[in-house]
Amino acid sequence: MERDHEKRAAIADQFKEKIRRETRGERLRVYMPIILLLSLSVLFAVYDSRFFSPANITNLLYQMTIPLILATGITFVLLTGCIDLSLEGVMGLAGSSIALLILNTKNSNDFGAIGVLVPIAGCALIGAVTGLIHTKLRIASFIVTFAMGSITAGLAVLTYRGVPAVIKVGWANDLSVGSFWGVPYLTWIALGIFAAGCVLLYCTAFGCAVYAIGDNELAAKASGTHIDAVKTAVFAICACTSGIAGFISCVRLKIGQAAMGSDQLFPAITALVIGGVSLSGGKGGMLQTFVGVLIYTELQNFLTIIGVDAYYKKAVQGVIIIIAVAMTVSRSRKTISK
Amino acid sequence: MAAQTQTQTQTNMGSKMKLFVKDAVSRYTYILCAVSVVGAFYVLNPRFLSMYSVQNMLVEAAPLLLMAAGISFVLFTGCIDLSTGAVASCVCVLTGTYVARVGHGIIPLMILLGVAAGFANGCIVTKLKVPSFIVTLCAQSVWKCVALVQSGGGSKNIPIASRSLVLWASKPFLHFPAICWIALAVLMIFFFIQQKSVVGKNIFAVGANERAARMAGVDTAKAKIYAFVYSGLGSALAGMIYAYKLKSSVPNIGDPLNLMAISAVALGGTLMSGGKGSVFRTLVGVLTVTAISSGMNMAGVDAFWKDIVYGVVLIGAIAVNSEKGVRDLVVR
Repeated sequence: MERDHEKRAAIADQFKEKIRRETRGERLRVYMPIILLLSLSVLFAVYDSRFFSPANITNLLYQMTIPLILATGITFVLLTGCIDLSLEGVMGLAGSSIALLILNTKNSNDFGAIGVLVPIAGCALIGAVTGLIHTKLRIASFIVTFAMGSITAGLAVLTYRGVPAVIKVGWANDLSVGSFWGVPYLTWIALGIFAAGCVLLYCTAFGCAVYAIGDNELAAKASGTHIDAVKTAVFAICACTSGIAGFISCVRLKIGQAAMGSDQLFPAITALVIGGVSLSGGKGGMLQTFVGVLIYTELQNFLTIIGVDAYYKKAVQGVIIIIAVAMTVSRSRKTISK
Repeated sequence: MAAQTQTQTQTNMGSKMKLFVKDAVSRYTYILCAVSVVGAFYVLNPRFLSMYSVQNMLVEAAPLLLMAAGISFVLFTGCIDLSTGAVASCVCVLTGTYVARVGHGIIPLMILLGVAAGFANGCIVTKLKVPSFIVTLCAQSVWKCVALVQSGGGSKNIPIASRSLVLWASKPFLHFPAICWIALAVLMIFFFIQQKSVVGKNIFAVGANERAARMAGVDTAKAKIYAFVYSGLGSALAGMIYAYKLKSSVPNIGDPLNLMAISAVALGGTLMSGGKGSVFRTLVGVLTVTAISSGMNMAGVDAFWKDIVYGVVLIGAIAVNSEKGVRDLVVR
């Protein structure tokens, strides 16, 4: 009898120890990115005093604009456990069609705000189609979005057929160089979208559904969540933010070219995984995304300051993603990674 | 009573017949698809099947065939390899740059590089348990970086003095250039591996049901690593063939190939979720994709349309072939 009791106590102790270890791991995962951000900031500042000069801070704010917008959108997708590889194509499509619809050198269109909003809405629609293909035809998201990425990139080139349009509107210049309280307008837009993303994720039933699906899709389904609707909406949101990023890029570059989207997917995913958003879904959130974007931007900026070749930067990003994902992947769960 | 039984048997027969027809149709869709594509382009332009055009198409298909045959193994396991295009670019650049110095020794070296690239992918996927599309997406960026740094960003010709080293590949042999025969030979080897070797069987077992395969004593990690190694090998051979065919090193030659290769495998009817498919089906898929590509060229379609067409073909092919019977399957 007594031995039985002892045994039970031992098992209870083991269980407690396991829980404690898990929560410790969890806490480490939550605080790790913030510690990394602070230590990198200090390191960079010590290495080069120009890093926190006012001019470079403005630089940093500019550089974080597009990654922040894209990361906000893709956070929703990653939280459901899916992935969106079509960012680049959608962004290029939005940018090139916006450039063709507002005052430009290639045709006589001048639709103003409508010319900006319609392509962005179109992108959201494309995202919804992606979501529908993924959910209704039951094709894995990475392959649907991989194909959609190439379709939209092709469409982007097709809109201007070889020679991209250069935009001539006056407000584009004001928008791209102007600033308010020392923060560029474009960064304000990005922050606004990020705030909207936070509200949507943390304060609505939709946000809860996103977490529920990412954590355990079958359980969410059993408890009455409309999985297909939520997933479709998630892809629409992601494509919509890609469209907005395309607009921003178009305003900054003054030219609507499909290539503006290239190499934009990696920064977004890198930022998310460094920040601690799990690729298997359900873990992380907007704050992790924000920290991740900051880390990514600082790293990029620093690599530029010390003069690393642009070719190497992408390779470095690739290695960082693998390491970050390998560190955050939970091996205790018996999921099969494919 | 007897009449009732008879009608029952009849309905049974009817449904069985229907099932049989459905099964046969789904089994041979890929051939039907290939024939209809070729037929349509032949009707549009009878010169589509002229000797010259067919030769051209086979030369176009050779590198794609190698890459797609390799990638098939990865898809059999249910994983994906997005790095094949970049590996091909990298090998193309390295071959073009060093063939003058190393001579024919470059061939085993590059094969080794491809095997190493695949091995690295496979190890990270299996040992670190990172999803394969992330690993290979990152590997893509690494190999692209090597290709761009090595070439300085532009394409370069192989110097005239050492052209004799690479000319043999384009020389016709029994009507077709040597590279076509090489591609076919490698395909045969891959087919043999798939049908006869233990590794081939294990790869399919892993794709069909990984947990069950592991319980049955299959070394799932080893099977996956082998699959990635074959994929890397195929991509390296594809890149080398490009260098020999174009007689130059082109750092972005592989960029469009990845989508084409995966589309070709999907068109052949290989399941993206793994466990079903064949290298032979991939051959038919590659021929279909090549026919679409050169048929569009001959019909005078804008090159801008190509990416769009391949994307649509990929989604369509997967949608037709995917298993819709399983309702509770979580697709991500």
